Amino acid sequence: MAADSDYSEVLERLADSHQQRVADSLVALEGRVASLMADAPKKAGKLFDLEWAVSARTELRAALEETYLSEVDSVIRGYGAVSTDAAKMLGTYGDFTKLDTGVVSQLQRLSFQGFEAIGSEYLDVLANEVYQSTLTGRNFNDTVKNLRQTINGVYINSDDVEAQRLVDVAANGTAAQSAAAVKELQTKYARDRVGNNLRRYSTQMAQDSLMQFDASINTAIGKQSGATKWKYYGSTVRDSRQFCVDHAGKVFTEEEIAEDWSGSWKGKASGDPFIVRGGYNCRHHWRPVFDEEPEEAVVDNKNAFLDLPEDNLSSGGGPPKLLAKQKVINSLSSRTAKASQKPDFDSFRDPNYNGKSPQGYQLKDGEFQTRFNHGWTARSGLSPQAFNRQQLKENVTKGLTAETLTILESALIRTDVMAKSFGVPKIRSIGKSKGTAVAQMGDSVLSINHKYYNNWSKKTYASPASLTKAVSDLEVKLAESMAKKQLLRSEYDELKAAYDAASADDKRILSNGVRQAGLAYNKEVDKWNNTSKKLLSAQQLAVPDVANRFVKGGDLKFRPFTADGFFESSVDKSNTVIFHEFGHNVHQQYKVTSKNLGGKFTQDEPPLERLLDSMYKQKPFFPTKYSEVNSHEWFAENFSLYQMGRKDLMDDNLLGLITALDESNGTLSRWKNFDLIKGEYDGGRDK
Amino acid sequence: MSKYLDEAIELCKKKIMPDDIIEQLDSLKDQAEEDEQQMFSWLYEAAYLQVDELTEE
Repeated sequence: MAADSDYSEVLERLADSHQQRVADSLVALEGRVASLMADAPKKAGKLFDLEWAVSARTELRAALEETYLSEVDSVIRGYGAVSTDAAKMLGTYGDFTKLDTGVVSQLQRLSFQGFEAIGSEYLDVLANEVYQSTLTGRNFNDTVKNLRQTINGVYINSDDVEAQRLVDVAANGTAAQSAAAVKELQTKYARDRVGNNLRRYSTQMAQDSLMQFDASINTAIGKQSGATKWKYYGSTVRDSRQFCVDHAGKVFTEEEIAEDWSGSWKGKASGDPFIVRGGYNCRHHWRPVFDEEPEEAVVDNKNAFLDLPEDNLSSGGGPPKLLAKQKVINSLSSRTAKASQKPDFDSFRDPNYNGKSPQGYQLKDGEFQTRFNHGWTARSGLSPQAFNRQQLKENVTKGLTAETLTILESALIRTDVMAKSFGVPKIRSIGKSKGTAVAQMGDSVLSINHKYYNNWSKKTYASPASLTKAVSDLEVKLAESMAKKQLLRSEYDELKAAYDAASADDKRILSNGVRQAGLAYNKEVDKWNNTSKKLLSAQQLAVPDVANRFVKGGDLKFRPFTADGFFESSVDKSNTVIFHEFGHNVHQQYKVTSKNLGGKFTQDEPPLERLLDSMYKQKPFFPTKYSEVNSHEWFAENFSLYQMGRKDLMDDNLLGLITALDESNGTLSRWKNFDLIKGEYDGGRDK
Repeated sequence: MSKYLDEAIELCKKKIMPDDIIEQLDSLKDQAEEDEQQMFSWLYEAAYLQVDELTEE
């Protein structure tokens, strides 16, 4: 194996060991915090001593420094050996300048500061939890559990043998075992209180910190040695990005790197290409090259993410850059207005297009086909098409946050590309879904549930600490409201008792006071109810999202209900839903005419829906429980997985069909022995 | 998965859903577990796709 490949493997193993060491130190920290709490002064099973609560911060800091930061320091001291190994690896390819040890020390110091910042943030969270619990007299055991979960999430230690066994499986089992164990910990043992914990961030940082240190060392050595060409190397794995797969094993000049890395792709991180490489969690590296070396063959891109066409797109590693609300509303309006133009030739590449009725999706007067009712009634005196033209020209954006609109806009950039690839209309309007439906799609109108989307986007952009703090703040507010409610009730009861015992004359004097006390109490009850609802919502936002790790061939009972369950980040979840809806747009609109549009006004179903019905009856693979509901949902779930780069989870036959549709740019007229124009198999529609 | 969610899924699997599918889903949703509410939001998605198709009336 080449020296660079050997070195890459060593780095990956080292990163794994660093993550384990950091995780172990947090187990020790959790133990120290639990001991500190065990010695806390208590009255009737509750904390009460505010002076002690303030001083606990010093103890917590000491525990953090002596366990977590001490181990991090030891890990980072080991980076010195990494720089030596990097120099050795480069030495096998030529003569390179030796790096100044001062630079190595400086880089180590910077790495440590990253961990220190996270530690400091979580010290605040822990200290606040102790103080607020003392202030409000929260249940002691709940407080200790919160502190433990702030440190280690679902991986907290327990005296319960079964819970501890699940923690061990979650930490050390296979992917499927781990997912099942985490789920059981969340449901059976209620370990879902603190979504973002110190363990999660620190172990991620242990990986990124090492890789970025290595990148800095290699780049500095190469640049000091006068290198102008660089090789991008490292193994490609099942979830490697398409960008990395395309570039791995190749040599680039600095100009080529600047140009290639100026684009956008899923999971891209901002920053110097030599340091951030392919993006978050990237396992690829740069090394300087002086002489031409043969390019290596790169294998396996079956699960690569899609390259994206424009800037500011969402990614697996991070959300799109947040835009000002009005700016994104204007941008969305412009995008959907363009998609509503009649006719929108932009969507069509069919060489047989005759210029009159593009693939039949619009009528000859340029109007959109209409299959679904968007509020039309015969009494309006309009045709459904004319009604929709009036009704759907404005996007419904009221009630959506800037965060939601930003994520929506970035998703629509991608669905516009899909529209071209699949030869169907772009999304022409944004609406609000009915009732509690998560989203809806019909006649190229996308309707979304404001509550779900605003929550996803809030979770996307809010800092972990702020989500946890929101819960704590509301708990305090709820406790205050409870105390006030009890006080007002006592006052009311006293006045009422006096009123009941009073003479008729006195009753007249007292009645107004009783009524006012009752009103004040009722008002506080309303306040308490509202705060409770807000707290529940905040707690749900703080719950950890764990991606389902089901693999094809596994036990179907471990599948998620819907495809968004395969993704951890909120932005990926919301994109999965939008791509699912766009999947409906594809089966509803592909090769339709006014005769086979579907709905009660037309003679026939859309041709693609006929094919899907037939495929669905043959008991295909269902990647999610929801995909079993009917052929349309089966298609939409698979379509979203296709667009999210999880082709490994799709039904094989449907993967073939979707790929063929995608690659044909909407011109595919036959699939195997099915005619996609006529909507029937060769020799008859019932085959 | 509660029996209410199972029943709702079976309703949505029907080739022709009942005319009062939304009302039936409402009723089942009210009886289902809190953590199943979001799953119901998907079943409404499937139901509205059929309910919202234009009719002659």
